[in-house]
Amino acid sequence: MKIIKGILNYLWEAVKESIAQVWTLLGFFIAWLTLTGTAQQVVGVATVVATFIWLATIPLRKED
Amino acid sequence: MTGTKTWRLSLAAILGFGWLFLVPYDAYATCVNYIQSQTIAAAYEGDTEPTVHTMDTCSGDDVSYQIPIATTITFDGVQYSNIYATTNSVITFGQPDGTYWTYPSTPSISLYSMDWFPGYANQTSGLDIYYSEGGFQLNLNMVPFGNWNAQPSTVNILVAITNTGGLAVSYSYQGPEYQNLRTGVRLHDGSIVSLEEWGATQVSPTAAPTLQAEPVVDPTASPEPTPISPEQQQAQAAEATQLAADISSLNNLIASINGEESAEEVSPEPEITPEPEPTEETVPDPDVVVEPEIITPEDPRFPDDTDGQNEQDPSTNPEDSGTSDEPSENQEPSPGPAPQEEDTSQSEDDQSENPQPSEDPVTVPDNNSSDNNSTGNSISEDELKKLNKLIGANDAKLLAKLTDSQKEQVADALGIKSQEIILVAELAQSNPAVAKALESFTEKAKQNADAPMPYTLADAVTEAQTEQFLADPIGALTNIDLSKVLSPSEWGKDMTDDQREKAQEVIVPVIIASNIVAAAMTRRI
Repeated sequence: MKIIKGILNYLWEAVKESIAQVWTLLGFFIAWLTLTGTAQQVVGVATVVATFIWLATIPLRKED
Repeated sequence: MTGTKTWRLSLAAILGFGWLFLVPYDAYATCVNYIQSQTIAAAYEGDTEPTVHTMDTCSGDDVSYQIPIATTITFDGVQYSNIYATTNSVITFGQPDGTYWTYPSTPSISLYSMDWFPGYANQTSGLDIYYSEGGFQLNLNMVPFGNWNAQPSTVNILVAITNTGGLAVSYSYQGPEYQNLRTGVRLHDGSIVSLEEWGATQVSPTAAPTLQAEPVVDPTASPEPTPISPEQQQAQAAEATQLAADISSLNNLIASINGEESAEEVSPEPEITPEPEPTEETVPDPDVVVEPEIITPEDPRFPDDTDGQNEQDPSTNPEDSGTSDEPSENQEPSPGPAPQEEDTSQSEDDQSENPQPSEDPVTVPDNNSSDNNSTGNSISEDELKKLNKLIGANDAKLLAKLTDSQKEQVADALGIKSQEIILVAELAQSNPAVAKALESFTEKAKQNADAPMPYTLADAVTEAQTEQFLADPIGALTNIDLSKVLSPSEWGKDMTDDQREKAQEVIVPVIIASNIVAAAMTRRI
């Protein structure tokens, strides 16, 4: 029960954080569209990785 | 303290990354793309039980899929372990080849090939590959590229692999008889022979044989040439290597022309094979139905391969030009001291095929002068379109024929530097969006003639990428070449200066603005 509640809390936080970052993500998406070749791929991969790191570390940031 | 923290960290890690392990790698895949086909082909080593496998490809324009084969096969006396089927109805040996306007320079079999687009009109799978230890079968269902409402055509190709590695090809075609359909076999010596001469059999579409799960016992009437001696085989391999080196040196030549450092350069005169390697069955008699074709830029057919007949072969195949003796129109002794264009033999022959240099000034810039016509012959829209297509095709041989002034004009129209033409040509090969952008640039530039900023190739590429993303979001996001991503020294090298500049102009303000908006929105929440 506690675990489920924890997960639900996390998901809610993740949704809020995602919404808060949607403009940043939009910026990166436009950057990705504007670039070509390796630069585009690097930006795409970096954006996805950074997004997951951001979402995965929500609990850490809440700590403080 | 640590308990809670650890628990939270674990939870975060699971929720953050765990899905990666839960979602199957190909959860979104409904078809096999060309990269996956290579993986499948590499893994295929035959079956314990005779089985016919199916590969439902994602089709696409000018795409080559690797065909899984369980053994090496022999084509024209050379052994191969890699075979590719292209969506233009061509089987290529050794390497993929996206050539759509003529016969590929790669050893290959073209069976009713042209610039096809499989699977468009009727939304069925355009290219299905069936494979087994006994060979492979290709079923193509397609329309000509750009002619989306055309009646779909069907090509069925069955390639049986004999127990000695030989090939027996039968094929059928059903559909309109387009003028520029190509049927023929490109051999290692660069010559093209007809399918019948090579040994392929045309069958009725209604009586098409089906793929067997096991290799057939070598039928004496195999279309494969009878085995040749190791020396001959080596000679052929050496020829193929020489050809590859020639092509590469031509590319270097163009680069050096653009870099203004010409000088030495390639030895254009590639060994004139003393005798064209008599592989028993070649019998290249001159009346072959399918004759080599080259579409030079001046060829009215070149840009919009609408009405193709007597196409000619830009195959970048120096030796066939060297040996091929079409004496006729071929003079043009390339007197030129023109150090850069050093294309003695080969350049002659493409010039030869279009004896009427009349109607298209852009084209054959007369190989003896690299910049002799720098006088204001500005490039027309139509010519620009042709040249863009030439760049998109990355035809080194023809690109080398552009004079400096022509390069400058094209580059100017595209908003790039003339030295970047080769870069764009290479990029067009690896990035379909760039190829499309080049093709459609002229029209789009016309539409945007009134734009406050000059419309350049960078804009067209961005538009093409956006269209590509909207058409196939998953494909656009997953088509990543990790080897390049992991080589920081390569990052950004494949962009033109204009593209970089435009990216800067867009990205920096967008990210700053989006962060400001994000901060404002977050406060409100």
